[in-house]
Amino acid sequence: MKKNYVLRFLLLLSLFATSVVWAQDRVVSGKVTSAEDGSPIPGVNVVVKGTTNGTTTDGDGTFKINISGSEGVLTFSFIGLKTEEILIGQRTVIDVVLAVDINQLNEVIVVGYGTQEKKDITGSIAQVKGSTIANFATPSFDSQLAGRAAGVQVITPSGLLGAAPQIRIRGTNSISSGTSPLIVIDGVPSFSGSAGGTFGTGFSPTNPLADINPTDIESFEVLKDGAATAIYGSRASNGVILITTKRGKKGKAKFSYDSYVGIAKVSKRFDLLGAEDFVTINNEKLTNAPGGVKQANLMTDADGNTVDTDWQKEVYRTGVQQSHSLSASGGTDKTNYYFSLGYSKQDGIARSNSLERYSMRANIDQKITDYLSFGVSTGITRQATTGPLTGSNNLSGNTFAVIRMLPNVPVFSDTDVTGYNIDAIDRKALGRGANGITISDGIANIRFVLDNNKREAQSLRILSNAFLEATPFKGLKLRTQLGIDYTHLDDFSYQDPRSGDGLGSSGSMSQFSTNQPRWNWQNIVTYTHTFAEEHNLDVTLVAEAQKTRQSFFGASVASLSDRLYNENIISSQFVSTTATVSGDVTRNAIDSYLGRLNYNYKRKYYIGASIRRDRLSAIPISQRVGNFPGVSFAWRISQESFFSSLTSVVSDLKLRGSFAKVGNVFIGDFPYNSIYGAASYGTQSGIALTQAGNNGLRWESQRIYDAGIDASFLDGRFNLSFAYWRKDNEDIILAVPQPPSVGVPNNTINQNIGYIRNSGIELTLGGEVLRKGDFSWNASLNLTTQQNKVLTLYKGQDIYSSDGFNITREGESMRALFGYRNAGVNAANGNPLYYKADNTIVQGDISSQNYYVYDPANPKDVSAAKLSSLVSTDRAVLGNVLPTYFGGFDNNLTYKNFDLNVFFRYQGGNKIFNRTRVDMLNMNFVNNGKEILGRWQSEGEPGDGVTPRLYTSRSTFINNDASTSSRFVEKGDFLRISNITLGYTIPRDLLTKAGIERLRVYGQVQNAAVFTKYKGLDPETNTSGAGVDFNGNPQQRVFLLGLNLNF
Amino acid sequence: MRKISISNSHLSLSKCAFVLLLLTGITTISCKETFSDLAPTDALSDATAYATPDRVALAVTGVYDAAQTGFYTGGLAAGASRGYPLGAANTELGDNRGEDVIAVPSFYLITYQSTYTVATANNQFYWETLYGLINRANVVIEGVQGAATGGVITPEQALIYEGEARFLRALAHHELLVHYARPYAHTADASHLGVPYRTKAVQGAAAAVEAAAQGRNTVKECYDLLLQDLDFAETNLPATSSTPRLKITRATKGAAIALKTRVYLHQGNWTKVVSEGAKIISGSGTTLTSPIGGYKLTATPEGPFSSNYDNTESMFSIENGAADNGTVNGSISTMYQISPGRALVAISPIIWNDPNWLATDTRRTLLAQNNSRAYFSKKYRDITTLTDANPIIRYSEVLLNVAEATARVSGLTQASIDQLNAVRNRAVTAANQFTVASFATANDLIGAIIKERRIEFLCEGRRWSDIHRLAKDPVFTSNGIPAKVDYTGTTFASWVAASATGYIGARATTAVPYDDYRFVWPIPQTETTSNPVLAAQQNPIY
Repeated sequence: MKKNYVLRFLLLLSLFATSVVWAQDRVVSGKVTSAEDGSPIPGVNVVVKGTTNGTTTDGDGTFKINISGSEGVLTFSFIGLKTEEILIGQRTVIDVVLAVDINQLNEVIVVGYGTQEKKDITGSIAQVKGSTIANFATPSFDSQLAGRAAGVQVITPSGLLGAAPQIRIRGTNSISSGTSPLIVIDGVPSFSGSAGGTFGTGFSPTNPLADINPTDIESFEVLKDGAATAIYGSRASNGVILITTKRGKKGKAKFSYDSYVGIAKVSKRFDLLGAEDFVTINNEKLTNAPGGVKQANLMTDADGNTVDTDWQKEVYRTGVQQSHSLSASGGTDKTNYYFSLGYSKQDGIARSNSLERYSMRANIDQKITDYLSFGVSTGITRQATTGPLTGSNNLSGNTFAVIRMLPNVPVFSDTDVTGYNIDAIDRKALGRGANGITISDGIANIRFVLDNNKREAQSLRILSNAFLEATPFKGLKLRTQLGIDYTHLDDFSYQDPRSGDGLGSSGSMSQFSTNQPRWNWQNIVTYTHTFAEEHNLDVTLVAEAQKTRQSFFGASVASLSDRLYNENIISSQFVSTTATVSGDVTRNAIDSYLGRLNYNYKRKYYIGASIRRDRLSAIPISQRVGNFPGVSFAWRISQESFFSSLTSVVSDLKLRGSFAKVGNVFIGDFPYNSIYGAASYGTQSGIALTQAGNNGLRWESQRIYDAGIDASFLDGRFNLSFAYWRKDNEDIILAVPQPPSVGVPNNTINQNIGYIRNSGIELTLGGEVLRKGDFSWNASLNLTTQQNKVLTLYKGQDIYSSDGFNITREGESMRALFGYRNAGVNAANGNPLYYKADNTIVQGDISSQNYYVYDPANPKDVSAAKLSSLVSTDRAVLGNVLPTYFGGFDNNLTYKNFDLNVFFRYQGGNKIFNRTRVDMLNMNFVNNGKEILGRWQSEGEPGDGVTPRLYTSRSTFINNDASTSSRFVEKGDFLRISNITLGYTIPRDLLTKAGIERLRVYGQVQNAAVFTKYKGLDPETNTSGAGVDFNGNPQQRVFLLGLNLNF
Repeated sequence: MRKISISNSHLSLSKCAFVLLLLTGITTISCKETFSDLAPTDALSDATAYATPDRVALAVTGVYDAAQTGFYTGGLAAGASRGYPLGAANTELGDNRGEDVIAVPSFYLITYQSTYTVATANNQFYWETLYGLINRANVVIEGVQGAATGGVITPEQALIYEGEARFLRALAHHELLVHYARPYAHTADASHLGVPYRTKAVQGAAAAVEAAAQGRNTVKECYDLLLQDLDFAETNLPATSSTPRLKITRATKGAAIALKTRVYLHQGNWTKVVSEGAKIISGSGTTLTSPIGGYKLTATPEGPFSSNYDNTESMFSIENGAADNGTVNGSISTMYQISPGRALVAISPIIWNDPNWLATDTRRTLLAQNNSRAYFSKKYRDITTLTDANPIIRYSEVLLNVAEATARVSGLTQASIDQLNAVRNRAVTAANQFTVASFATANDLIGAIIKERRIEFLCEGRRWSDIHRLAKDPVFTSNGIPAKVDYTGTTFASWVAASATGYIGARATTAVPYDDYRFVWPIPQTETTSNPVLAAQQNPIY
C-alpha cells in the first residue's frame, strides 16, 4: 500500500473540552466508498493511529479531520469491512475504498447482555452474518444455519414448510429434558421449538423462528462454551443463539428491496411398483398363503389403456415460492431507524403444504440528551401454514399413504359422486378398481384427503422490546429493557364427511386457540474502564425477571350440516351432542441476578468470570435457587514482545480456555409436584394423580470445559480457530422409568439421575485463498466432531424409546439403534434368517410363524426338534444415531461484477434405521417399493438374498417391522451441495441515472445435489428425532431468481 | 462510535434522578421474593385433592378413568388413548386372542397371529394400564381413608368408595391373570406364578422402590386376594343407583357378586359359583331375576346394546363419552363396525358357520351385519361420537356361569337347562328350544353352554377368557390357542350361516399349543428393564 508521506501534522482543535489539546495544523478531508459497489459509506471511524483523535464519516461518506504533528497514519475502520491504514503524508484529500472483510466480519461481537470486541473474546462464539443467509428461499432462517458454524448442527428432517429444524449445539445433552438451544432475539429470550407445542394441539406445524424475516437479521451469535454461555446460567446447557436485528446507521436514508421467485421440486422420490409389478407381487403375497386367491387385477380405462397411476404426482408437487422484503433505514446524530415490510408465500413440495408470512419491523433509537437514549424494536408477524397429515403411522399421512396407494386404480372417477375414486362399498377407502378387494386398512384416496381435508395454523407474533439507557459518566451505562414475546395461534382441522377420516363422524372440525404471552424485564449496569492505559476492565451486572403463561381452549364438533362450513367452527352447524370443549393453562417464571467481570492486561492476558443466580418456578422451593459460575482466560501470545518477529506471518495468536457450570430450564413447568390432574370417566368428571412428585428435585446442571486457539495469518488473510470441548451433564433430570407394574403415572418419576458426556473438537479455517486482478476466492471450512456417551443411568437400567427402535444404555451413544441382527434369507425356502445372541442362526418359518434352528446341512428342516425362538435378549446395539462429525465448506468467488457462492455441507458417522423401506415391503394389500422385486420365489429364483418369501399379512414376522433390524440400518454419511448462487451486480454507471445505488440479480439452486449411500429419500430425514426415517417427507430442491436493489 | 470522550461536566439533577430511577428498577425485582413461586394452575396438589367431599368423589371417579382410558403410546400428556385397559381394549384383545373373530389386516394381527414380543404395544400397554388402574385404586383407597379419618367424609361413604376401588382392583388383577399367567388349573394347588397383587399406594420414588421388590404372587394367592376384594365390595357397595347410567357404569353389590361367579368359574370352584349365583338369581323356569339390583334379561338379545346405559341386563360396563373415549384408533364401535366404521374385527366363519348356531337365531340379524365381504358385529353402534359402553359383565353371563357350574356339580338338571334357555330362548324359535331331552349327558349340556357363551358374548372379548380357563379341562379344552382363519384367505362365500359341515376352509394362522411359551403374554420389556425382580420371573423363553 504505497502512499504519499506527509511532512507535517496539523493540530486538531477538539470540539470537546476534555480532548487532548493538540497543536492545530491543517485539515484533511476525503470520502470513503465501498469496494463492492462504489457507494459512499457513512459512519466509518477515521482515527489518527495511536491517538484518540478521530471522527466518523457523514451520510455521504465524507469526513474532515484536523491533523497535527509531522507524521501520522489514518485508520479507517467499519464493521464488516477491512480496516485500511493510510499514511497521511502531505495530502489534504484522502479518498479511501473499503473492501468487505470476510476474514473478520465484525469487529464487535454480541455477547449475552452486551457486546465485546472480537479480539477480546475469551469464549467460543461463532458469528454468522445475517446477509449470509438472507437471500435463501427458506421457510425459516434457522435451517440455513446448518453447516455455517462449527459446533452447530442443524437438521432439516424434511421439506415440509413450517416444521422446525432440529438445532443442537455441541451435542445432545439431556435424555428427558429439552435439547434445543435458547434463542434470544434482541436480548429477549424467545419461544422456539413448536408453537402451541406445550399443549400439542398443532395440526399444522408452526415454527416460531419462521416468524422472523431473514432479511431483518443483522447477525447471529452462537454461544457455545462455558465462558460465553454461563451468563445465561440455567438456560445455557444447550447453547444460546443470539439474534440481532438490523438498526439504522447514521447517514442518508437507505432503501432496499430484496426479492426472489423460485420453484421447489422434490429432490428424490420413492421407487414404487407400477401397476403390472403391483399385480404380480400382490397376487404372489396372497397365493403363497393356503387358500389364498388372486385379488389384484389390471384395470383398463375408458380409452382402453391400462391404468398405471403415479401417486407420487398426486402427493408431491412443484411449488412456487416467492419473497419480497422492503426496508428503509438511516439515521442522524440523534436518531436512527430501521423499518421493514416482508411478504413471503411458499407452496411446499407436499401437496396442501404452504406457508405465508406477512411481517413488519420497526427499530428506532433516539438520543434524548447526551446521556440518555431510548429505543424500541418491534416485529409483528402473521404466519399461516397449511399442511398435510404426516404421521408415520397415520392412515391419512401423506407419505404413509403414497407408498401404499394401489397403482392399478385411478385417482379420479367420473362415476363417483365426489369425482374421486372412492370405494362404492367402503366409502372410507380408495376405490378398488378391478381388484377383488379394497386396499388394506381401508386407507383413503390420499388425493381426496389432501384436496378436501384441512390442517391449518395461523399465528400472530409480536416480538418487541423497549429500552432506556443512561450514561451518567463515561464508562458507565445503565439500561432497563422490557421485552414481550407474544404468540396467538389459531389451529384448525377439518375432515370431509364424504370419505376418509371424516366419514365416521359425518364430517368433523377441531379448533384451538392458544395464547402465549411472555414478558421479560432486564436491568443492566455495565462499566468499562481502562486504568493506567493497561488494565482494561469490563463489568456487567444484571437483574432479570421473566414470566410466561401458556393457555389454550378448543372445541371439536362433528356431524356437520354442510361442507360449506370448513373454514371455522360455525355456531349450530353441527350436531350439538358431538361438541366437546377442552382447555388448559400453565405458567412459569424465572428471576435472576448475574454479574460478569472481564479484565485484561494490555490486551494480552485476559481473565473473565461470571456468576448467575436463578430462581425458577419449576424447581422445588427448597432447591429453587441455582448458582451458575463460569471462568475463562486467554493469552494473546502475539502481543508478547518475543513474538514480534513472527507477526508478519502469524498476525494474531490467542490461547483460551474456560470452565462453567450451567443448567437446563427446558424441564417442563412443574416437574416436581405431585399433581392431581383432570381424569374424566366418560361423561363423569374426575381427578387423579397424574404425576408422581419428587420434592428433592434439583437443577439439571452441566459442566462445560473448553480450550482453544484462535489465530490469524498474513495480516488477517487467513484465520484459524480450533477448540476442544467437553460437556459433562452429571445431574440431569431424568424421567426415571419406574416398573410399570408399580403403576405411577406415565411410569416415570423425575429424578436427578444420569450422566451424559459430550465431547469433540471444532476447527474453522478461512481466508482469502486467491486474489488475482479482478478475481478473488474466499473460502471457509469448518469441522466438528462429537462423541456422545451415556455414563450413568438410574441403576444402570436401559431406557427404550417409546417406538422400541432405540436404546439408551450406559457406555453407548444416546438413543442408539437397537434390534435384531439379520442373516439374510434361507435360499432353500425363503425364510428370513437371524442371529441369536450366541451367534447361532435361526430361521423364521413364515408359514407357522415359529423360529427354528437353521441347519445349513438341511436348511428346510422346520421340524419340532429344531424349534427355537427369536426373543428380546437376541437384540444388539446396531449403531449410533448421532453424527460423529459434520461441517460446512463455503466458497465465495468474485470476478468483476460476478459473484459465485458454492456451499457444501457434510455429516457422517451415524446410522439411520430406514423404517420407510420396511413399510415399502409391507405384506398387506398395498403397493410396495421396487426392492420387493428381489424377493425369494423358489430355490431356482432365490432373489437378492435379503428379501424373504412373500406371504400376505405377515409383515411383522417377515420383516420384523416392530423392531429395528440390521437389514434396514444404513450409514447416514453425506456430502451435500447445499447452495449454488451466481450473482451479477449491474455496473453503477448504468444505474446512477435511475437513482439506483446498487442492483444485483442472482440465480440460485438450493440442495443442488446429495452424495450419499443412504437408500432413503434423504440422509437427513429423521422422523423420530432419533435416527429413524419412518415415512418422512421428501426434501426440496429450490431453483430461484432473485434481486437486491438499493438506493 | 466516536472515540472522543463526552464532557465530564458535573452530573445534572435530572441525570441523578434518572440514574436513581434505573437503580430502583434494578432493585425492584429483588423485592419480589415470591416472583418465581408458582403453583400449577390446571391441577390440584396431592395435599388438597381430598380436602372436600366433592374432591374425594372426583378422585374416586378418577379410578374409573384409569379403567376406561389409561395412557397408550405417548403417555398421559399426549392424551393418546385407545381405550386401554377396560374401555375397549379388553374386548378387542380378548376377541383377537381367540378364533371366533378375524383380525382384518393389519390392526390386531400381532395379537391374532401370536407374534407378540416383549416390545409389542398391545400387551405392553395392557399390562401398564391395568397396573396404572391398580395403583390409582390404591392411591384413592389411601386418600379416602385419610378423608374419613380427617372427618371430610363419613366412614360409611368411605367404605362405599373403597368398595368401588377394590372392585376395580380385583377386576384388573383378574384380567392380568388371564393374559400373563397360566390358568388356575395349571398346577394342582395353583402354586405357579400369577402376577404381583398390589395393594399399597405408590406416589413417590421411595414407595416405588419398595413396591418393585414384590415378586409375582402365586395364582392361588392372587385369587384369594381378589376374592377378598370382591367380598369387601359386595359387603359395602350399594345395590343400585337412582341414576340408571350410574347403576351400570359404577360398581354395585350385584356387579361384585356377578364378578365372583366369573372368578370362581375360573378357579373351577363350581359350588361357589352356584352359591354366589343364588344370591342374584331367583324365580322359576326361564323367568329369572336378581333380588339384588333387580337385574333381569332384556326382552331381546339386542337390549344391552341398543340401550347400553339404561337396561336391566348390563351389570357393569365401562362408560365412554363423546369427549373421552378410545378414539377412532381404539373404540369398539370403529373397530367392529362396517363402514363408516373401520371394520377391523370380523366375525370368523369358524363360529358363523357353526351348525349349532342356528341359522334362524335372531342374533345373526339383530347383532351382526355384512359388507358383502365379511360379517361383522353390530353390537357397538355410535360411530359418530364413540360413546358405546364397553360391556364388562352382563346378567346373561351370570346365568351361563351358574348353568355351567350347576351342570358340573349336579349333572343334567332342569335348573341348569333353564338358565341356559333363559339366555338362548329369546333368540331362537320355540321349536328349537332345549329341553332335557336335547342332551344325552351332562357334558353335552356343558358343551352347549360353552358354545352358547361363544355365540352370546361374540365380540365382547370373552372368548380368550374361556380358552384360558378351559385349557386344562379334560373335556372342553382347545389345547391352546386354536388355529385361526386368515382374512386374506377368505371370500364372502366363506361365510355360510349354520353350514352343515361348519367351516372347512383353511386356517392359515396355525394353532399355538398350550405348552408353547406364547400361550401367555410376556411381561413387557418396560417392566423387565426397570424391575429386576420381575425380570427374573419373566414367562419362559421371552
